Amino acid sequence: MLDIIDAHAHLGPWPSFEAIGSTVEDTVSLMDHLGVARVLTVHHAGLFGLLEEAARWSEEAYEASDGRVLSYLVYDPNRAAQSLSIIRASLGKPHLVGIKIHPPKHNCPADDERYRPVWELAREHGLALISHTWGRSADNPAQNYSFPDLFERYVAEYGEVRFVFGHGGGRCDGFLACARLMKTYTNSFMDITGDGFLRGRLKHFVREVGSERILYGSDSPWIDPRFTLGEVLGAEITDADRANILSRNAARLFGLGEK
Amino acid sequence: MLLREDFEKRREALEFADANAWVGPPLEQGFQACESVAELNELLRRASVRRALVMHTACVSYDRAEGNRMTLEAVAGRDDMFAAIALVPDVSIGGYLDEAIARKARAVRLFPKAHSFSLAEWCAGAVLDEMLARRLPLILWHSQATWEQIHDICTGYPELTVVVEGAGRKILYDNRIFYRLLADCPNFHLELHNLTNSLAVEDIVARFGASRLVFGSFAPYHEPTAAMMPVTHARISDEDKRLIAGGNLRALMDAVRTGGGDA
Repeated sequence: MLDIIDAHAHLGPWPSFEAIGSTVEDTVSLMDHLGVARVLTVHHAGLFGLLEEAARWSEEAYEASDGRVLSYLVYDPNRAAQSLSIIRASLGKPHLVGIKIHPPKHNCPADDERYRPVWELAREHGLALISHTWGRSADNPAQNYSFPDLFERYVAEYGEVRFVFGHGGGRCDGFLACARLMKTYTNSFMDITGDGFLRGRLKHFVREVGSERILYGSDSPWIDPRFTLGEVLGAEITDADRANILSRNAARLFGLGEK
Repeated sequence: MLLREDFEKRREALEFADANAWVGPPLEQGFQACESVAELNELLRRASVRRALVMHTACVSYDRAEGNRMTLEAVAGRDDMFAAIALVPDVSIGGYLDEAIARKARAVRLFPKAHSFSLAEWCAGAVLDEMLARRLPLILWHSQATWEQIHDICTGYPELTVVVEGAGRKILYDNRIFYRLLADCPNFHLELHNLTNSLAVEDIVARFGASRLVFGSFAPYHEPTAAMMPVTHARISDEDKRLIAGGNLRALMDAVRTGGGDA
């Protein structure tokens, strides 16, 4: 039986919608229902400057879930020193799987010099780095800060850092850009979170870059885990590709053994 | 049993009917479209969808009259396909609607922003009256209207079935609003293709009942199985799953009648 790993989800409330299912209890309950062994989460609080709280709640989530809820900690370029201090204090702790950045939320383009410290930290300590990535948007121009092409500067310079294009670029233009970059930079991965369930996108990625660097993720509570799980199960890809996406790639990338 | 096989079996058992299937040139950039209604039919059949409401994208992007003609032609002779047609305010549409119903139209979408009209009673009221007389459900993209307009239609036409689809913009941000509509307006329903909030199906069924949710996939632009798993694997009763998967939509379609009482 495949132990599914959800490589990108969230805990905690969000101001502009009712984040049903965002508690540790609800998360673990749904994991049990779907056969998800582990979930890698970002606590929403960390995206709003509540870095200490997010770190504490992330550690508590690990304990409350018997080690099944793991965490990325947020690097906020507007609170660089505090972010780095908190991440360093969590190094070696079992709940920490990597670092999350979010250029639109922090109003900082992905190629900005203010992100250099986190790439240095990731390289120094062998931490995975995941970012929100999205397509270009006229309605929400901050999303342009996370268009995949903007990450090339650091992905290229820091080839030792395992980088995850969270949401894989989010929209069709972003998906295409992400796939192009992944073909060149073998230290890059993508996850399938978000609401871009475009028919054929998984087939496109598997054809362009293979299935070994694609990660299943839910983006819960924004997206119910069953949407992208249903997409993977229905896509025109092989069962071996499915096993890679749902479990093996994340286990290898984050050093997660069988549980 | 493998998860994929289990998922296939559950889809097959629930007899899905899809309220949100399309033919024609894509409305947005994507990876795969369907060149023909036959290809759409095959895609839906592989996903275990047994019945579909189909609209041609020309209804939105070009001309609703021409798009309706293409839609009705597409579903003609296909037992498992019916038409959703687009309307604009018109002084006399009764005859048009009766003919469309005879040719398997079973729902109406309005696109007030794309087609430049108002949903207010003074502008769209005559259309809504004719739809109501024929029990034609109204399907609206939330991105084509304001929630205030949707509320006004639901309360002004309490016998009209209103189904809101989350196309064109994320609808997940509006759950504090549409929960209010679910509570206050029994004729307000939600289609599922982009109703992505975690546990939405379970929570809405628990609070408001399974009759308020209508399955739709946005095929062929979205992978149809994406919106199916929140139903197949929902923690609700099998009867509620059957209603959401296809029972609710079938009931809405079966209730449609011409102005003379035939469908």
